[in-house]
Amino acid sequence: MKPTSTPNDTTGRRLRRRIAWFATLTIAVPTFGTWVFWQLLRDEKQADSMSAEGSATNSSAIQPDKGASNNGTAGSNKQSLGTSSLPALPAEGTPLSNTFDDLVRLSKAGSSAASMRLFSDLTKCNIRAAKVAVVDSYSFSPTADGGTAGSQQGTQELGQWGQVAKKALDELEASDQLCHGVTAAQINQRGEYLRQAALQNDPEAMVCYATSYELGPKYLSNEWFDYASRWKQEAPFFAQKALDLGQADILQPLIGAFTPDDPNTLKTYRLTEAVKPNQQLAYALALLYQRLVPADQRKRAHQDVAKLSIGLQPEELVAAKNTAESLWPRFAHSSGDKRVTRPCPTFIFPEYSD
Amino acid sequence: MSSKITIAALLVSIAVVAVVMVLHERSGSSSYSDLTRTDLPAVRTAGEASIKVLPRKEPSASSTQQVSKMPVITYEQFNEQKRCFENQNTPSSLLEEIAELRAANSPVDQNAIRFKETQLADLKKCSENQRAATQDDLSKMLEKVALQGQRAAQLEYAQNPMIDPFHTIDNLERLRAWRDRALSYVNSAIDKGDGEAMVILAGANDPFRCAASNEPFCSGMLKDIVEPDAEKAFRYYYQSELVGNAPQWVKVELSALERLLTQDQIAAAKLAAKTSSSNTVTR
Repeated sequence: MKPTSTPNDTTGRRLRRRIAWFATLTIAVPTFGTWVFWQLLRDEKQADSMSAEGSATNSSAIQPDKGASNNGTAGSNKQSLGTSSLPALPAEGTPLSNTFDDLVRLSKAGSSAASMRLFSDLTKCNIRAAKVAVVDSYSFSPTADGGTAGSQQGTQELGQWGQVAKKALDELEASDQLCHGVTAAQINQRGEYLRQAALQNDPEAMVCYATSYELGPKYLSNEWFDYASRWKQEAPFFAQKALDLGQADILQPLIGAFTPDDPNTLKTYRLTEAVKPNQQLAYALALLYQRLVPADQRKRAHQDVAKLSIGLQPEELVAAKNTAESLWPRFAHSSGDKRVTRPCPTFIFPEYSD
Repeated sequence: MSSKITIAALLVSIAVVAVVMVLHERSGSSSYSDLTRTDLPAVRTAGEASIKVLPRKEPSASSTQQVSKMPVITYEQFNEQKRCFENQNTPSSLLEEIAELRAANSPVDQNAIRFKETQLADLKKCSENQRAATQDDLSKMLEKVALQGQRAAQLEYAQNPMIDPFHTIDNLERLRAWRDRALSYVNSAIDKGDGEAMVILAGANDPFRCAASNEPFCSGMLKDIVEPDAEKAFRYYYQSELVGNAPQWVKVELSALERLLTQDQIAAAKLAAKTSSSNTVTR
């Protein structure tokens, strides 16, 4: 037999339920609201600290980009993406602590040039910091003068190697001015600006980002692990996009990445670790590349083509040639350009430059 | 009844808020800058590419799990495997060298021939499996032996986990595990009075990078996770001398480090070294 309920019971139950919901909402809504507010406040602070950190001096107004040279590598197809209304970048070499905030603002507003400038300048400061450490080390090194361990000569204050290193540091005077007041935390963010520029459709940044996971935060830091695992997912995407846009300096890294694993091949670019090997595609791109490189570097390119053809079936060779032919119009404008062989601004991988 | 409903409703709402908070934190959005949050655009650029850049296949199982599931290995087994791996290409070249020496038919070369033949016989002991091992296999073996607690293996692993530098990105998990373990292995050996571990840690802290040792290796990858610190370097070099059997070059390094430090810092470093040494002895 079902229990019966009187109208008074029903009204009472409804009332109790309402009280319960009211109590719940009274506690949960303000809690949730406070938390959301706190998150927003914290994010705002982080964004501000990122732009303000290290730039103790007041940022100067952005000057027209008189001296800014095009950092672009072969076949740069930079797209304005509606950022033409943004102010020009400050002249290159302007102390970063004076321009950092403005560059960050421009970068956030969508300027790939500002993002790329932040990356380039912070990378120069990173290289400079490493060179300073080398100089310091050599200046006091017990074997700095080439003497044997323990010799009197070996403990001279500034040995021959130290002087060599000192000279190298002297040559960095320009970066001394550029980097004064720039913090390690700012330098640690350089890879994020590179990625930002790539996301803002800068093909040069796409290539630079895709070729290395070492341009990000300090190696083996927690941030670096996050950066590297994200890079693994994104590198093939940006390489593809650079290829689609006809950015010729992606060819060399992609040839290396498509070349099947071979312990005797020097894997120059990290892209190799992220891309699935495919010899036929490596061969196709090598054919394209040998048409693009300047005449004085063609011999090596011919050798690579010959090497990559080994083991491919006749129909695969034909298919690869067709692929190379179909891609040619997209890259023809870079023919003979020395920068085809140099992914990234030259100072980043100086050892690969001729 | 109403109080039960109220409590239940409260618990549910708190749980919902907590779940939202945890998910938000896990997404990492509040732990990094604005920039890192930007996702890749969903639509690729216009233009038909006739080439598709495909990502490499993900490893099937977690690499750290693979290591933990490996059978027990001794340090001797690892060293044997290492010797086979490092000499993978040697047998053929050894054969050629022996043939050349025999062709020369010089009595002076007889000792060299015998030495190379012994070397060849030694290498021929390597099994097919040992010959087929990759750097990845070797690296996992070393990690396994280190995990088993063998001190020499731990020190070797701490300096160089032998992870293939051309496959770093596939080994991030193991690289992170190495970073988190390396220093504790070295410190634990130091606590037991291991002089080699002291030199290793000193080298990692040494701003001169063991310059007097003429060894480019100098504490290996530990340098990547330890900041240069002249006082610490001095302390551990000094402590290794107290323990005994420190290499000769440590003296040179100590005298060079002295020039970077104040008298107070040197005194503090020496005191710390002596205290640690006496603690080790009395333990």
